[in-house]
Amino acid sequence: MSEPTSRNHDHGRIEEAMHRVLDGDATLEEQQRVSAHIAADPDAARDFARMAMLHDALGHELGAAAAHAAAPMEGTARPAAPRLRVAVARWATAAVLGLSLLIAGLVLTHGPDSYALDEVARVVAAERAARGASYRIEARGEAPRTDRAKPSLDGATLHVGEAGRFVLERTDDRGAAVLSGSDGTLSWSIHGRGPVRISHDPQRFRGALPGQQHDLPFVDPLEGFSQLAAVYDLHVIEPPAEPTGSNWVGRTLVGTRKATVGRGPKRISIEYDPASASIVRMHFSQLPQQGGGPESVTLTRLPDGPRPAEYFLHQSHHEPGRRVVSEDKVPQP
Amino acid sequence: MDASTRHAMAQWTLALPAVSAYVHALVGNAADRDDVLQDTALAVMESYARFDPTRPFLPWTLAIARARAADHVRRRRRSPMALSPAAAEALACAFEQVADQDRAALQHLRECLDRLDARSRQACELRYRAGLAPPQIAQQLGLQPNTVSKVLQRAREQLRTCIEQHAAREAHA
Repeated sequence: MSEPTSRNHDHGRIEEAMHRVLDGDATLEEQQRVSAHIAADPDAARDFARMAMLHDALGHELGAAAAHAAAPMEGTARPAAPRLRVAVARWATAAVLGLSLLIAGLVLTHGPDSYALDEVARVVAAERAARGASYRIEARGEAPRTDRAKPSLDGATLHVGEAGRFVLERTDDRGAAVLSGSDGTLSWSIHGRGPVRISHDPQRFRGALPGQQHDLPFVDPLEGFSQLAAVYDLHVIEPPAEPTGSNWVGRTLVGTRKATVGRGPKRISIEYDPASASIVRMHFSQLPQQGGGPESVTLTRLPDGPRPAEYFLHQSHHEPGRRVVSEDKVPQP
Repeated sequence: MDASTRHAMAQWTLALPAVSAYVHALVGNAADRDDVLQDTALAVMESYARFDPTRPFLPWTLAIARARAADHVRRRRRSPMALSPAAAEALACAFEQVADQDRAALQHLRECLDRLDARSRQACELRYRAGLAPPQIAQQLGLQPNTVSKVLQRAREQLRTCIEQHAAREAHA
């Protein structure tokens, strides 16, 4: 191979390796080659920087479009509200998370925020009117599990309804569905094709719910949002008042756990539609990780409307005749 | 909100696309990127009073982001960062040089995405909307993983050409 052709060939291979580094798909040898190349050649470093900006922007553009498609739809029972503008929400997630902490920290020294408390009330009212929601859960930083039958929270779906109703859907390592729920009266759990376990203890099968082990004041906003102010220093993040080139239009409640409160995530952020106050996403980070729980959890609202009451009955999730086992210590009437 | 806070917000918002991309390149996935961005934002806030406003904001912020990314990887006991410390430092310098121009050009990303061919668009949707890694995309599409890597590379190159053409047209308009 002649020298210019050889150089072009090497350049092509380095470029391929750079793309694979961005996709997390590079071998160790490729990572080392890319690192050496970037460190030695400013042009290569600039090329990689541009690739990285495009790569990250694609994640925000397509990821933001998906997240905001999950915001409340017009024509449902929820209060009518304009959708968040998908086309301008590319930086919503990162900007919200970044700005929220920046501003939350800057204003923490200025005492309780009554505006935040008013916004909490609006969010609670909006969620109450919605009468339920469904979320996709992403859990990060879970410890490796030794019990293959105990499913991860990452990738789970949570449906919540009124009066303590919920259904948590997970999959174990063998692909079996693991469901737990409550119809408001009876708690239940179904693992694969095993028996249905039931209990009149409303807490019996809630252990897997995100935050249940961490004194999170809420999984379902209707249950615990009113406790937020007691547990967290809360503030509201608005878009910058002056034009800065950002297209972020969302609003976020951010909270830092008060020093006197024991467990729970150190930081929370609740992103919501400023007009309707309907939640779009909740993010809890720096969770205590006893028992190998996740370090952070994100719940993204799904476009499904509230589930009917029957959905929360265990009978809706298995065939008739499945064996039912009561775990109540005292026989219930 | 006082003037200092407003100024900090404005600077952070302008820097955010570059900081986000830099962190993403260091930690390798969007989930860790978001966690590191939170930590970086807090660290920037805590240090802002000591920031010399006569110096550029982005290099200072990228240095904080680099340290936070390293802490995050160490705390999680994950594999080391894909880029060496020397490469990470060189990359930060590169971001300082390209960030402004690229931020403007990336405004055209959406319209350029709409012009991708179907295969490239599908690969991007699976990679970025569904969050699948190339081997998972390969499985879904019935392709070899290497083919998926090349499709993604070609898609990004086409997008880069498109957004730069738009940006050049705008500059000459």
